Amino acid sequence: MSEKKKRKRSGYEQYEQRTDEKKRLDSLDKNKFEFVQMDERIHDKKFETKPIGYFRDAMTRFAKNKTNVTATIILFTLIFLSIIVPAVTTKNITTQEHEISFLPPRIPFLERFGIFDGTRHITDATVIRDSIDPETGLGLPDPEIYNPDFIVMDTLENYSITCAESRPACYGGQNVLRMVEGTDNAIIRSHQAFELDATKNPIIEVDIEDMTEGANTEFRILVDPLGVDDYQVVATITEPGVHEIDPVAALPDLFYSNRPLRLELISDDDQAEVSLNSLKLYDDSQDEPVINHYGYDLSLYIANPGENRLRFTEEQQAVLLRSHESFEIDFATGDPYEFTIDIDEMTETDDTALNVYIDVEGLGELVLIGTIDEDGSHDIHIPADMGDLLVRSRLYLELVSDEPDAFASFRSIEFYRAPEDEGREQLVRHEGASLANYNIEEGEADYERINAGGDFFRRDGEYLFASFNYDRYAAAFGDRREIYSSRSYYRSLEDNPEICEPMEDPDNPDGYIFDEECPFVRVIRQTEVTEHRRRQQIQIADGHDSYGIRSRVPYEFNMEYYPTLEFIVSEIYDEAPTQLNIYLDSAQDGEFELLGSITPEDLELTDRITFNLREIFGDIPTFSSRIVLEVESESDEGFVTLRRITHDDESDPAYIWRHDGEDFISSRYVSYSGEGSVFRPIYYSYELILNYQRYAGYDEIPYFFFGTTASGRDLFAMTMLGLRTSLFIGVAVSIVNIAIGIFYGAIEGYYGGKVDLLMERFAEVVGRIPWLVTLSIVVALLGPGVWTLFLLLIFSGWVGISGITRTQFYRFKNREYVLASRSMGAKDSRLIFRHILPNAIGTIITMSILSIPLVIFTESTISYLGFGIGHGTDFHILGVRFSGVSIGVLLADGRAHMYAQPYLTVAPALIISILMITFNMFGNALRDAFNPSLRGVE
Amino acid sequence: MIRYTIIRTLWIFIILFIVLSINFTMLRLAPVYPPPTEEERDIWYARQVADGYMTMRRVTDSDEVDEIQQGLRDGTIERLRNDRYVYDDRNHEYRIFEPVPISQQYVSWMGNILFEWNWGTSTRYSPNVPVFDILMRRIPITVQLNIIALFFYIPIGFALGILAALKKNSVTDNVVSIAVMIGISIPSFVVMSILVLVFGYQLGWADTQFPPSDVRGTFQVSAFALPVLGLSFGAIASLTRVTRAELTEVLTSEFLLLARTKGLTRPQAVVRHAMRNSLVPLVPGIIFSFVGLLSGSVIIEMIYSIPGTGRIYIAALNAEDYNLVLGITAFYTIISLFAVLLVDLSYGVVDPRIRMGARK
Repeated sequence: MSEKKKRKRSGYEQYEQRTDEKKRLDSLDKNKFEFVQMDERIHDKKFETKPIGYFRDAMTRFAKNKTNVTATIILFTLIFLSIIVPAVTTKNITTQEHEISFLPPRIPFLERFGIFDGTRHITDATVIRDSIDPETGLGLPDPEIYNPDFIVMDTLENYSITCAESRPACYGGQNVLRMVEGTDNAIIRSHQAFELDATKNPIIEVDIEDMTEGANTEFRILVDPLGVDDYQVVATITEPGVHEIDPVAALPDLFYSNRPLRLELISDDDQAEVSLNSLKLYDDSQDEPVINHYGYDLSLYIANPGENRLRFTEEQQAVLLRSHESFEIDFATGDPYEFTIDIDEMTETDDTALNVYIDVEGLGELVLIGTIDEDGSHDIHIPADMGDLLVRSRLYLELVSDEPDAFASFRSIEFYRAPEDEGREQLVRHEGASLANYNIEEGEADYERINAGGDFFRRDGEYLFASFNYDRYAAAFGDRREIYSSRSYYRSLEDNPEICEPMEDPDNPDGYIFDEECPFVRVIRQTEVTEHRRRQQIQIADGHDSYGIRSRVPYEFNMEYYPTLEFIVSEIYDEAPTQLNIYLDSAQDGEFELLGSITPEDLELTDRITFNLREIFGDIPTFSSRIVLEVESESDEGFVTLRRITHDDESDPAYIWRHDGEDFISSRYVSYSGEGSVFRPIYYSYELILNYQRYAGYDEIPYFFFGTTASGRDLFAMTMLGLRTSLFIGVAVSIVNIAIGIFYGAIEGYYGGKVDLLMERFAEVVGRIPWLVTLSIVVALLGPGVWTLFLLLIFSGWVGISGITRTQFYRFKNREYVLASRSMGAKDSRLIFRHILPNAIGTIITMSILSIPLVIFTESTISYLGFGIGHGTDFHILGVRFSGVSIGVLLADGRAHMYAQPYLTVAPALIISILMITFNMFGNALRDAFNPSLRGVE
Repeated sequence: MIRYTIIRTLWIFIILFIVLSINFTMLRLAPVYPPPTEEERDIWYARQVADGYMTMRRVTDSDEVDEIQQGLRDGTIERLRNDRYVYDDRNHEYRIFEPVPISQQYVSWMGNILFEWNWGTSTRYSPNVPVFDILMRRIPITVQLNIIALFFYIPIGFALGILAALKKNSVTDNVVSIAVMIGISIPSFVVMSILVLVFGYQLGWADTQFPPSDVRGTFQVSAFALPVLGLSFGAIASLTRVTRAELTEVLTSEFLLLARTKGLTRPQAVVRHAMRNSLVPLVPGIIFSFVGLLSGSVIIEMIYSIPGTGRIYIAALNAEDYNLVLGITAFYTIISLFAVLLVDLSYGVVDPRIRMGARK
């Protein structure tokens, strides 16, 4: 800005200036100007320059920042959703519905674009070869697992992977017979007998892909014509190709033989091998081969892999053998795994044992899972609680002995997965050559193959896999095959009397079909349940109200050993008061006394009822008595179904006697009182097709925005529910923390001096205790639960707030108005609450808002680790019920299924991240709004 | 300075002592579950007596033995927590193991630690293996993981913070600020889960589980990449935030202006003057976040199956193996208090006012 020097003007110059100005002003166009507010009375008007309050000011500042406003809107939307959604949702969030578990997300609008349409892309599904459609060349997977109706056919693809395992799914290829180094022959025999009937002109056809030529290599086929284990050669083959052998022509004595075939490989070359494509048997009875062994079937031929023997070479205590590859154990499934170790022979002295170890943690730390001290096949179980995820571990075998040349020879080692209600599934088998690869880890010993008869293994087989999109929603809500017990079947029919009437099925004479609205689509068949053959039913006859039976012979009860009688009761008629009474003649005087009764209520918890004779009869001498069983009922349809009666006491054997089986009552008991009958009830089970959608009562297939959890609950509603819990805990705990913190900090800050020093030291100690320590103490003393969570969160949460309050108090403590108020006689509490605290409130509030996300953060961490409230527990505050499931719990649930169902983790993770981010932004914005001087300084 | 050091060190030891004592007392009040199998239990109880936590007395009088048998059967004998009645078939006698009053246990415990370095034996996790041995095997991995994370996050945190502060209010600054906001908001296990999901399962770039010791190399990238990232995520965000804040504040101060007018270039001014001043509040932050890292590694270890102290802490707590829990928490306490000591001493080094002996 230039600064011109201004000199005082003379009067004339001023006059001139004014006239000039006037002229200039007059030359302006009047029309460009108009009067405003001419008629208004300005003096009554409120001016906008009136000072606005602290909060209004802050709010205006707050609203100016668009990002913060957006964040706040998102935050409040989430909070709103978390309150509303769980209350209004129609989907299932409480019960377990396993039929619709693990459904992928399905969103109404987006599904048209092919994303989130409820389908899952499935890969590596084994193809059933019979299902290969000749037109398309594509095969379908196992219909039990993937119902073909729900496969999106355009997406179906097949692909193959080479394999060499001895499993039926590994198809085709060759089977190779190879000699073991140092031997001069290899022998295998077929697992199935070949029926050679001379009258039918049998022809054996062997297709050899390849064989070692030269070095006097011969491949011989042998049969046992007389069935006395005397095998004779019917063919000697020296070159590859398809060979047809006429066994009758080779052995004229052969009339009829039904024995396994024997195949021998002989050579001077100890690495000779022959690879077989197939072995077939033709005869006149049919055009197709009678026996056609190739691929998997051929691999079942029995070779003699020999044993692998571990033997001490020096005097020592122990030798450790380690498997050459790891075994994969998936603890997350909860299924038990086991090893089956077949020992051909081992040193059997008292001090010799074979210890079996695995190292679960990959640390080289061995965990003992079993000990073997004798020959034979041994099952060693791996406890299911050793770990909780997928681990890879080697197998370690330690031979301990005091004998100088102790040994153990292994025939085979197999690794199984053995889920409880299914059969064992063999995952790995080591024998012969593969078992020979094990290494000696510690100790001086020999480990070599003995008695090997040759190796027989597969090569170039092929797995055929399919990959496709599978409509999980249609599959879950569509038709499914189920097995129902007769009770459930009849109960379902009773529940839907009009719509569910079984009608004859024209296609299936054994089954029935149902109306369109009935949840049952059709019954395939009904079969008798054989496991229940052991049950015996005592039935009262028409017109009577009790039926008693008495054992034929008396039984002795030795009171010194605290005898018991245990009854396993399957069922008691419950449509009218019914009970089973048991009588014993304890005084041996011909009078039967009641031992006890069993009612339907007793059976609610368990089916085993035990009577303690000493407790009931007291300390009486040993007696012998017949047993009387009486069914008493107010209805003449009353009955009791018994499964077993056991007499036990504390003397040595496991039990004294046990009665069960097909007729244990009818054979041992006779009628005693009343009228009735004893028989074996027949139970049926029904194999039927159920339509889940109708069964569960859905009008149309629902949309689950985030999919469903492992128990079939809607993840979206669960997430909102969890959000609600997390938010509530966050706010509640924050309030408590703030209250304690303010109180503590106020006292510290106000009084200062020694009080401050002491309290500060105390706060320091509490604040410095590591979080893990508090976790362990609280969990150890209280166990996981609501109060534990609250206590943990409150424990050190208040320390931060008290520090801030204390600083604020120091700032304001010495202001003049405080001094003034005190000199006027104000009490301490008044000064604190009316003067100092309100000034500090601004800072305190903003710091407090920011503490809520921190609490939520900690709470979700605690829940994730498993110490939160968890499923199944709800807690009530002021009459409102909050579920124990919080986002941390949901994430913990999702962790186990991260590979197969990633959305179980992604959805809650996204929600909690958004919550935390928006909350932090909201808190920051609030702080900036209240304290603009702090803006930019975090 | 010397005086300050001594006072702080003493104070730290006092806190350590108090915390460990509280820990011990609380855990001893909780019910102890001895090892599951018979033989392990015998060994364990013998051990307890040897360590001074329990006493054993023999009951040989035949009548008394019968009484006890009856009482056990009827339930009339009141068993204190952790009592054990061992029946010796051959001699028809009872050996009774009873816990000693807690104050006496406490004295024994202190004695065991100070004189024998005996931290007790595990009951459930690895029955009868000394706690210290179990820990010793796992501490190296945890420490290794955390140190790698430390060396990873500090340079990155600093760099980002300085970058953001220097280019304040520009696009870079905003991007960094948003990233920081996200970084401090998302819980560590969420980050870890997403990392494992995306990089482990979907893309297959890293291992989905921590590989066992015989397969893994000491510095194998694919094994350590995910856990280190998971641990550092939050730490980088915090460090960036604090660095940026401090540096911004210092950059607007007057002595920096003086430095510029003296003729120093911007980098020179920043490095020589600004950084040193902003370091003061940063050093304690770094040390505390190292402690936070240790606690945070509990979760990371659990998700990734790393055989470190964090994972057995959870396992021990779930198995109610309180001796082991005590050992692990003692470890964590010692480390965190040691860190606090370091912080306090660093105040002395970095802030000359303390060095001169002025009151805080």
